[in-house]
Amino acid sequence: MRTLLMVLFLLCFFEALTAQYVVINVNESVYADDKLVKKKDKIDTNAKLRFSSPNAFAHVMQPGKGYYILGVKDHKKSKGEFVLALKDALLPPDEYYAATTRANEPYEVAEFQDQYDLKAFFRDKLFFIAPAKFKVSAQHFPLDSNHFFMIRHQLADGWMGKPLPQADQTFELTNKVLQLHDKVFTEQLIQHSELYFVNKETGEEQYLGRFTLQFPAPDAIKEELKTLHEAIGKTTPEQFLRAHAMPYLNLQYGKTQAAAIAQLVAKIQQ
Amino acid sequence: MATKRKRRPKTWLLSLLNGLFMLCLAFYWLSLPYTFGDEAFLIKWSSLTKKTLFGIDPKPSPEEVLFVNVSKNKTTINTKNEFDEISPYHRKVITDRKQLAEFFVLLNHYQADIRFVLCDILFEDSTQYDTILNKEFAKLNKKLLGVSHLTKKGDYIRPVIQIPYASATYNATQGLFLKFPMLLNDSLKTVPLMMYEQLNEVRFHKRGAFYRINGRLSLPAPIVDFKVRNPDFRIGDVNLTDYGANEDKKGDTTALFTVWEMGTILQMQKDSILTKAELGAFFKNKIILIGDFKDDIHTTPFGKMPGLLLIYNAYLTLVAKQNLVSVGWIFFMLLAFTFISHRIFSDIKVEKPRWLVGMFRSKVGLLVLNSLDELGLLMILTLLSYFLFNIHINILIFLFYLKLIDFLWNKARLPKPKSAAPVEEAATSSN
Repeated sequence: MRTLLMVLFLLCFFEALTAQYVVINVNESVYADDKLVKKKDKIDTNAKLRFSSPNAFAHVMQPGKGYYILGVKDHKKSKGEFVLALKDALLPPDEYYAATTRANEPYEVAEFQDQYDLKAFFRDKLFFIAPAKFKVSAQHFPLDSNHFFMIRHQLADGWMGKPLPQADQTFELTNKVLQLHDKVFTEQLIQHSELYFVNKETGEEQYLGRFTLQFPAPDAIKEELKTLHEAIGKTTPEQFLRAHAMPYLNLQYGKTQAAAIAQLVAKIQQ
Repeated sequence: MATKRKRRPKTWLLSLLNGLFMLCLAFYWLSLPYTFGDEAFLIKWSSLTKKTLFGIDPKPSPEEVLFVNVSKNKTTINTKNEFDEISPYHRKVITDRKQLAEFFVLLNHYQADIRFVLCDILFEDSTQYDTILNKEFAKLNKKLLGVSHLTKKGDYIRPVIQIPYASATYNATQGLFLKFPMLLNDSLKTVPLMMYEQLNEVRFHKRGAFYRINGRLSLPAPIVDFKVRNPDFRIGDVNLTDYGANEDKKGDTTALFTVWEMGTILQMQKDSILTKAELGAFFKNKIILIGDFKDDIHTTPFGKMPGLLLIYNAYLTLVAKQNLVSVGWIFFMLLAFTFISHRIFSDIKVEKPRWLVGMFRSKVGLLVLNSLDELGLLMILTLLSYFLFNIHINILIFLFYLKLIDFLWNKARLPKPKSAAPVEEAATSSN
């Protein structure tokens, strides 16, 4: 019995002496005693380590001691605390955070980077006096025969959807979206419209926004702007567009693309 | 010349008296549970200079402490709505007591090896797992300490679970942590003091107006010396070259300050990744500090730090006896204050260069210019006090005091204007 206890004691003592690392994560391939190291493996502290490349390392922990990096890479020593504090005091760290929306002014011509850009534009009231083109990022919205944008109009007794024509990562919105076969739906018949990005392969639809859509007659808009221009008096086309025409139209009809309005303003100024 | 010589002992006596008064003021201001926000700049840079440039930065052994993070062990409970009824629509995030109980069951296996456990979690609400926790807490007996909180309104929130506790509240100036009081409201012992008393068998008491630890004069709210800071928590680097070249270093990795996830320790126990001996290594001879390292964050002169690290640094300040007032410090401060007072009472001024005087022409500018001497001296004084005795002093408030004394002294010494009557008399007689 005494011998058995002694053996057990020695075993425990030996186990306590041979500390081991527990593998948290591995970058590339690391071998301990020629055995590939995986997560949750235990590496003996005396094991012979081999790395598949100079960048390979194993992130390990040793109970009660800490976390370590086992690797061949010569990790550069970090800068001293004093230097870092001095740097922070002289050049305060940038504390701006990424926001989900960008300055997406309606008269700005820019690529729609992601869903947030589209969601920011395609909401509330929209109007267009000419075919409107929207360039989208190929990373988030790759456009091809299987991936396209679709507009869905909600009617009193159902809905109708139309895929939007596209080319060169740009989709187009014209008054044809109001037509179904030979019938043209007036704006009064449509309760609201919704924009979706459709993946035909998977059948998934990504909802991007809900809005009301109008296609007013360009001449009517031109007349309104002309009256506004006469009331304002002498001003440059650019100033009239930014300071008067766009805010007025925004209030009256909603958001639009500025290019077509700029052309109207140019005609009025002539 | 003779009158000047006669006045000298009087000036020194006056300076000594003022020096004594300033010493009392210094002691009083150091005893306040808060400090002045503007001092933070000097405290930070003098500490950084001492610790990182001069390398005077003694740290405790990382092997004596185990930081356990519970920020990823959260759950929600129903709380009271505005009608004071428990409502499923009003949820509150709390530490998962079931997992905490599991951790304490594990801890209690190694209870004999553990030095102390601080559980920096405020048990404000009751849950169904409190009975298990009560049972596990009871097993640790005096080795365990919980926390309570004194709100700004003066409400004292005690834990609902049976656990020995102390207050983990401090007073902040402009949200900046600098001091940890040992007592709150003159009677509530705070966590660092309780830890210090239990681990080091000391006794803190008040006699008259002064506080003492084992009979030695102590500041009741010392400025915390940040011995363990964020950069001390890092990942160790063991290069293959070290392995091959130095046989002695094999397996002999030094301990690092590390924050361990409570969930990871529990998971490794559950999956039997670690043996009993390896699990024992986590707790052997350790002070175990359990708290939230993500959401319980405070602003300090050294950046943002978890609350548990503030408590630990406050405890280390006490262990290093940086709260004690030595005879040397009293003598040094009295000497320095007397010297500064003597400069004022003897009208000693440093001649300023013309270009500097030219820059400060307005009344406020002149006041600033005339304060530079005292400001410089006080800065040297606080640096010496910190470098030699580890005690920061409040210099800005002293600057105001000295300028006031200077103003009063100059006003008192101005010759009184002579009466106009004799002059007029002389004028008529000559006519």
